[in-house]
Amino acid sequence: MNDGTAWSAAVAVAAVAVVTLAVGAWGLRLSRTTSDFYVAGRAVSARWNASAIGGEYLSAASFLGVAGLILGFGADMLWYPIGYTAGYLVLLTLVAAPLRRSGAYTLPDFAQLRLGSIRVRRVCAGLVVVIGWLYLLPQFQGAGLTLHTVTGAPGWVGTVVVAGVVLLNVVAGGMRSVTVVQALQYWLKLTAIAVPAVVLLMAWHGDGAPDPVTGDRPVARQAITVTVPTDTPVHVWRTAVVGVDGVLDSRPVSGQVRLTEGDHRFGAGTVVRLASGAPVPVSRDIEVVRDVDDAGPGTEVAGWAATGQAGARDHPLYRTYSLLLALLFGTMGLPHVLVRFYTNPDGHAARRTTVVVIGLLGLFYLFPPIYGALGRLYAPDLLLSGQLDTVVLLLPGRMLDGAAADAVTALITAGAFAAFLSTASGLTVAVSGVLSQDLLRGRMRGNVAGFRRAAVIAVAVPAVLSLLAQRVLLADTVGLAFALAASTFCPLLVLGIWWRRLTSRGALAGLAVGGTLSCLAVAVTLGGRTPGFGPPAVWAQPAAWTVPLAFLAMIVASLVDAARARRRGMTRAAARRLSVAGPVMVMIHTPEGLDVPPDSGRRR
Amino acid sequence: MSRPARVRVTSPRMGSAHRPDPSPLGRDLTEGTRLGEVYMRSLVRAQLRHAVAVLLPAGLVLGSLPVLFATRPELNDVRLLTVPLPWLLLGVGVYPLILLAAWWHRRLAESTEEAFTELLEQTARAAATDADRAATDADRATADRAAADRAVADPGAPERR
Repeated sequence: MNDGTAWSAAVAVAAVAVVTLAVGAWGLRLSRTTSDFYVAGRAVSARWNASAIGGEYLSAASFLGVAGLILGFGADMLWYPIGYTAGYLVLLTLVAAPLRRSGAYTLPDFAQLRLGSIRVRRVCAGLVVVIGWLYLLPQFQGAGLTLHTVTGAPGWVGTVVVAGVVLLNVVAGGMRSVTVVQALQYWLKLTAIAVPAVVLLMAWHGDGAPDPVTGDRPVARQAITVTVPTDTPVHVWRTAVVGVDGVLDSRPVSGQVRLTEGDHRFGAGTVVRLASGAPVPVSRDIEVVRDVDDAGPGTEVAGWAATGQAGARDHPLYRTYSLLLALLFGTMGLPHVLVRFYTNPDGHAARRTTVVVIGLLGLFYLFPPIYGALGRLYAPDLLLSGQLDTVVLLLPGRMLDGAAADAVTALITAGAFAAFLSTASGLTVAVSGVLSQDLLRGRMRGNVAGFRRAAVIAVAVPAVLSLLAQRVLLADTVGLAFALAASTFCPLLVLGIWWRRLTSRGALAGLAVGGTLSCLAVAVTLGGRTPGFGPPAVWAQPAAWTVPLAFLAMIVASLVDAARARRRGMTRAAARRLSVAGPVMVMIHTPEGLDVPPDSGRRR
Repeated sequence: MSRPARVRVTSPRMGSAHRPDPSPLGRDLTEGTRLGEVYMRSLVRAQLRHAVAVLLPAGLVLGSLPVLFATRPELNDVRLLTVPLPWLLLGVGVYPLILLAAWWHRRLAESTEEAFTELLEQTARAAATDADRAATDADRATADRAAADRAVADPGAPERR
């Protein structure tokens, strides 16, 4: 990355940060009471809101992660953006209008409203914080990676910048300013991903439109120097002479080396210099290269681009289905999704907004696969270094030169930073709100000072963790957050809205089962160590077993609870009233504009 | 100018939209009478049906694709506009379908809710008309009794209603 690119990108990042703060400060003038700190006032219109939801939702995973996954693992990774979008469809059909009608601000609010239990509320609050932090972690990591890749700054700079801007913005303006900022940022992000994609496609066409799908194994189109960050097993698919400085096959090496065809191993920090036209050794963590001769039909297309052959990852079909389950049913349980929902005036508007959101997301997700495919041609060294997430940032520099490369890289970097800032802001507001309302003790509870203190905690913990934790691909970490949400809040919401007989003890049981199991999977995957049993796929994509188990636990526990209440002598009617189902169900299901008296039985 | 006193608003429940004065049937809904139960159950069941009507086909279509591509890998060789078929389907094709499903569900849900609202308002109006009629009947009964009393008191006078 040359200096010109580095400087223009740094300027772009600074510009995004400044604009974000400026618009946020303007929004501060509009926010006057504490309530504006939690949910923006009625001033938010449906189209603004849809842009804001879309803007907030498109995180580092969407902007960078998806393209990186596609580069590494091919067509199967196209399910990630499909799941992100279709998750809103599930939300629309099952949850949107009833949840808005309930009047609850946050998920813990809804839990208490529906079940009348403080204990469930507290558990939900804890889950919101865990899920929020799990989702914030990759945003901070992505920021550090972006600034490091584009400007060469040390990894912690990007993290600190994003954490700082987010904290300032959230503490000063709460949610009202964040709404406006999010709406603008969707359109910035769309521009930042679409315009460079078009430019790169034109450059690709000018290059003779080489086919990224078929053809040989990855080849360096220009001389490239790659630093292998961790100890990496690789497969060299054609004997070649490359420059290696570091550790090769446990022997220190320096200078030109003849790499024979087959498996080798590079030590951490090894620098590999590939000449133009040289074959790129591929990390065996990414791809298991199969011999072309014993390939079956459908592999005239090089293995990487074909479906069902997700490289080195085992059990691709299970992974796809489990991932889909997590994404489809986890969206409704993400803290920053639901909070923004409540800026809609009523259930009708909530539905309409959601439809627009689906359109906006679909439009955005047309573009990342382009980067993934082009990356196979112009950034194949990422298959060696494993830094797949950087493909979107690096392609303009590889494919264009001079001022064009600088400008396009700056635009993309701005978009990436907008992605980190907006998602991190939304998550921070959601987590801070829950922390200050439900989990902080003492006189700080539920007022502005408490919110601010909570915001500091909400930002500091994931920021610090991101600097310490081992690097996992952005989209993978985000996927784990979805799995956790799908195993805890999805059963709670779906059963709470549609099933009268959910009791608070049943909900607690379900949350405990789903939460514990999926947290276990998260710990295993992020910790990098698989327990003795179970293939890696089962732990990396746990939703296929944690979600059904959570539902089962919630249902069975509720039925047992009710049966026990009946045995203790309560009539069925009394037991049902105990779960405050009646008036609450009426309130959340009856349409707007109906002559129904406000619920008098609801506990405040 | 003094700053207005800071009000601590911990959880301002915006609550549901403002509801006008309740009709007798509306009260049936909240008080959980048997009639209210019946109406609620049918509404909830209708809305659940709409959710399933949209999610099930969408889920089946989406859910069949991974298996399809896994069992028919030769589909990867099919190219439309130089793009392999799976990429075209998964990268572009599904999004309009998801949008369509969303739009369709919104329409279904809104029309059901309108129908439900209509039904309740009609029932309320019918109930009100019955009440009016009952009131008119009661008045007429009182007037008859008054006339009968007068007839008893003054048998010769002409009947006057």
